[in-house]
Amino acid sequence: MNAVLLKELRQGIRNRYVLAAYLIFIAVLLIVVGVEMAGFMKVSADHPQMLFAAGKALFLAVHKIFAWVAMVFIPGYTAARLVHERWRADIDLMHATPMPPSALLIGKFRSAVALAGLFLGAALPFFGLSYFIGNIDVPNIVMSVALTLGAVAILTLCAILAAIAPMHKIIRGLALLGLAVFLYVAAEGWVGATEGLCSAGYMNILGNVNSCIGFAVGVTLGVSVAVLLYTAALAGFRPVGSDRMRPFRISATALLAGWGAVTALLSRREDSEGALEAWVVVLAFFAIGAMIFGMSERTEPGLYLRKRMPRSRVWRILGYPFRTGQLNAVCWSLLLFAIALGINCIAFPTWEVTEYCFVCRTPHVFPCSMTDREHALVLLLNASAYVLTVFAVWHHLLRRKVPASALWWVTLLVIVLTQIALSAICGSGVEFIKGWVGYLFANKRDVLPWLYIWNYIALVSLIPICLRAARGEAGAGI
Amino acid sequence: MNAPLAIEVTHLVKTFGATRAVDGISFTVPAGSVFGFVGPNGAGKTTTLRIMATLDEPDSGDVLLCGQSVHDDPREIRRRIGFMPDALPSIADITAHEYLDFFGRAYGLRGVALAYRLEEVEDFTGLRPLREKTLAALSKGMKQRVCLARAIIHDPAVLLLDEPAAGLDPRARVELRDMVRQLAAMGKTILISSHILAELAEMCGGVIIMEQGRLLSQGTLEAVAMGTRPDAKVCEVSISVVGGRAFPRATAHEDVRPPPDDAALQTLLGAIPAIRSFQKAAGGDEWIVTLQGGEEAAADVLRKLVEGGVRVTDFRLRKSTLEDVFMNVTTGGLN
Repeated sequence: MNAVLLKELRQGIRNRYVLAAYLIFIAVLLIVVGVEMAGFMKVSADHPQMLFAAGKALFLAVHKIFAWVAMVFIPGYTAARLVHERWRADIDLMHATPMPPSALLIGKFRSAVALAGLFLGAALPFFGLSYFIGNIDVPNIVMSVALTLGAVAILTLCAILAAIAPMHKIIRGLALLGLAVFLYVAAEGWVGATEGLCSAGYMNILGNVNSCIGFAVGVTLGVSVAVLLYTAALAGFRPVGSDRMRPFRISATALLAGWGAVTALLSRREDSEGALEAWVVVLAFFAIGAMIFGMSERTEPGLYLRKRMPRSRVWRILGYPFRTGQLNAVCWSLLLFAIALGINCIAFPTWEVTEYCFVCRTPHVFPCSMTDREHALVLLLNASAYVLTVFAVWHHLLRRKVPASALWWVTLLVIVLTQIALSAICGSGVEFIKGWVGYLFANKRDVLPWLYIWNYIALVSLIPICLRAARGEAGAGI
Repeated sequence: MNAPLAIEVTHLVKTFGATRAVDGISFTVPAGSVFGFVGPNGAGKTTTLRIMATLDEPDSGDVLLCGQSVHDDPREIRRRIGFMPDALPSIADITAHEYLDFFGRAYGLRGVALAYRLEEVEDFTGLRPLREKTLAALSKGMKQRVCLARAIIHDPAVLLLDEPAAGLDPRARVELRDMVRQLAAMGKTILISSHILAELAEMCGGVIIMEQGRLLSQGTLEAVAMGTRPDAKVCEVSISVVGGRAFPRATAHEDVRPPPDDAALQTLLGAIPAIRSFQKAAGGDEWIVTLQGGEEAAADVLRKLVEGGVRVTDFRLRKSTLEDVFMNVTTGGLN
């Protein structure tokens, strides 16, 4: 048995929050089931057939409570415990044992699953009761519970990542706050989605091609996200300098390239434009993520010291973007953009959007639907986001290489190069100067939330620097 | 024949941003010995210990533990060492026994072997009566025992102890010292980082002194004390004398002279070539004399004093304490 799993289970059964949550969960279940049954008994006095319809309603009510508790409490509890252990350096002690980092992560993950099983055990009799009352079959019950457990697994991985990733305590606090909001939204959305699917009947999906495709895409995306979260969290458990980002970079590149290939295959479909947009946005987010992760990484002397660097020069060069290190993170980002550009420009030479691409000769002019005032706000937010981002990246990565006096020129250069790259990928042509954000956002009002989020993230990443500057510490930078 | 080396550190470098926490240090610790690892705060001791414990990677250089490099197989190294950091265990909702059981499993122990080892370690550290208490309910001294028990649960050959006695009361400190002595008697190689120099001097056969990431001195306490002075073999003696009447005549041939007064004693001391300086302690008959030549020179001085008619009531060779050595070696520079 995994040592971490055993430890977590021992801690779990002694933890007062787990005990309280479990007791409250059972009490709420009893109350809800009692109220539901009492309501149906009252109605069925006049209409006996109504009692047989109570099964599905009872199942949905119990499932809703189970989903809420499992999707909010379990990831939250796992993250809180991990943050506590990390804060008090207990994780260090575990790293000093021969136990591999993956055993730590798997142990934490499996203990969360075991906890979900504990709550599921309490809910199972009520699921059974709803089945015996009728109007809901076993496949629907199993599918709903399985999907919810899958969502709990993904959210737990999210929580582990937020708790273990190297970041400033203020940013971690904000990340955990964001995680709490995310858990709430995810639980709310998930309960609604499973209710809808359950009402329609999962078995009916098999008869509909589009639903099947959507379901398959959802499951594939879920598995892909789980793989990425696992490799990213694993990196958090491994020591700095141990080439810890390698599995994440390899899996992320493979998954993103695979997604691009699938988009290429589906390019004739009517909604392919939306798929490409989504892909490019995800690509950009992962590239930014790689940069942020790269900031916490050191260069790669460890690989040379451990004699793990390939002897062949060709392999060394090919593997460069996938290795840990700040410059390698930049290379990885460039590789992702190159993949995007390559698939866009080479795989779809006749595709409508690609014709407007920067590399093509017929730039497309999109009609501008924004007022001047809205356009000015977009430009302002865009400019501030670029400036804040460049300042943060400069402070973390390039302070010793680029003098502060050259920072404004660097910012200008970054804006121009990024816009050219975005235009090249997204096909807005020379319009990048007018729109600043290329085809994706040029003339759409929904650009504003994205820009707000971008500014927010950049500002948050600057908080530690500003705090150090306020305390007058050396090397505060700005 | 020299003892085999348990720890070999060669040209170790570790930087954090612009700070060079460990700056190319090299030292060795023979197997079965207890070495003190001392230096001011920020000297790089903890960083060095963390690299040895494979928790951090060096920028360059190597550490061999029992002949195995930390770069080649960190997991094998972890099986051979026991690391006790300066932080106390704080895992919530877990008893001392479960805590040790977890680490025993983490080191690959299972079944009867684990149960036997747990009993052994709990008996050794005196944790048996407290095994069912949660960590939060234990005192600091008891938590430190749990920490030591955790470090030795897998019976490692090398123990790295980082500030094991920090914040402990005198009794807990004495008990910890006894346990370390017992471990040393079992043949373990122990490297202890500590600021309590008097205790280190009692426990350690050797000492390693660091400052600002650099190694200042290494060796046995005596060797380091000798090496810290620019002129080797300098020592201090304190001499107590009494004035008054001459020695009673024992035989007819015995010299009968009055004991020298202070001025005469100064002249006498000044005439001895080995003596470099001397001064009378305030308010007493004690003289502090610095001389060159070690114990032999001290014996000569005593002989000459007696021959000069000085009535010596106390003659003590003051050996350098670790504190003296530390103060002589370090400059107080901050990293």
